[in-house]
Amino acid sequence: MLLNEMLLIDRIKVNVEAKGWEEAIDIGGNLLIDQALIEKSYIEAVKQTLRSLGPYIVLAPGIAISHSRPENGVHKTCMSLIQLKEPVEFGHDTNDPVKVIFTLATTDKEAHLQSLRQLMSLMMVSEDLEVLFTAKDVDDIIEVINKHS
Amino acid sequence: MITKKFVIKNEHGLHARPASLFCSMASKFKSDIKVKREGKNMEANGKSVISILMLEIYPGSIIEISANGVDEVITLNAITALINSNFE
Repeated sequence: MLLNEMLLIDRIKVNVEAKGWEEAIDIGGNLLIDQALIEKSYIEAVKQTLRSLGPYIVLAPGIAISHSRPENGVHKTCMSLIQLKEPVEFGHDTNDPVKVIFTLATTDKEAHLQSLRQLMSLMMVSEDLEVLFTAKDVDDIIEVINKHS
Repeated sequence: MITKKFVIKNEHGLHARPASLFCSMASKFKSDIKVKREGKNMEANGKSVISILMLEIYPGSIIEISANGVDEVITLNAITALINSNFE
């Protein structure tokens, strides 16, 4: 599945207000729950894992990839993206504060690999990454997503 | 520079959490750390989670890690211990 097949326009929000990491994870998850793509239990599992294992999902400065295991409640492989108005702390040593959160849900180990590869290559291009951090319009983000799909 | 090869044995390979542990460990040291995987024509920066995830390291993958710097021996020893613990 390509990145732009998983991360559709109605799964992207910019300038989102969240008071802390838990609320931010919930908002990213709700974009997928509202479309019946995942269950609430999936997002609860994400938060539970973070509380017990720490903020390892903060993969790069300012960026978290909220995810859990397929068995925790995924109906369809999908992804959402939120850009926060004010960044939040996850408690990560080097990558806090977080401004951009991807929520990734996958039905099996293989379904998401191509899109994840595309997402990682996007994250290696600093001017494209900058768009995710600063875009005021979702269309600007879609343009970057399409470029890497 | 010193290099060492490993076979990755933990259940899901170097997904987000092990890759993150790897980078946290690597970042404690001064040496440059490079990672390669057999079958993939790319060299990853051992201090970047994204870079390591791009190598797509699975159970059974053979990887080569090189450390280059004043503390390269202790760096590679620490990474060896982490890999041998299966990132527990």
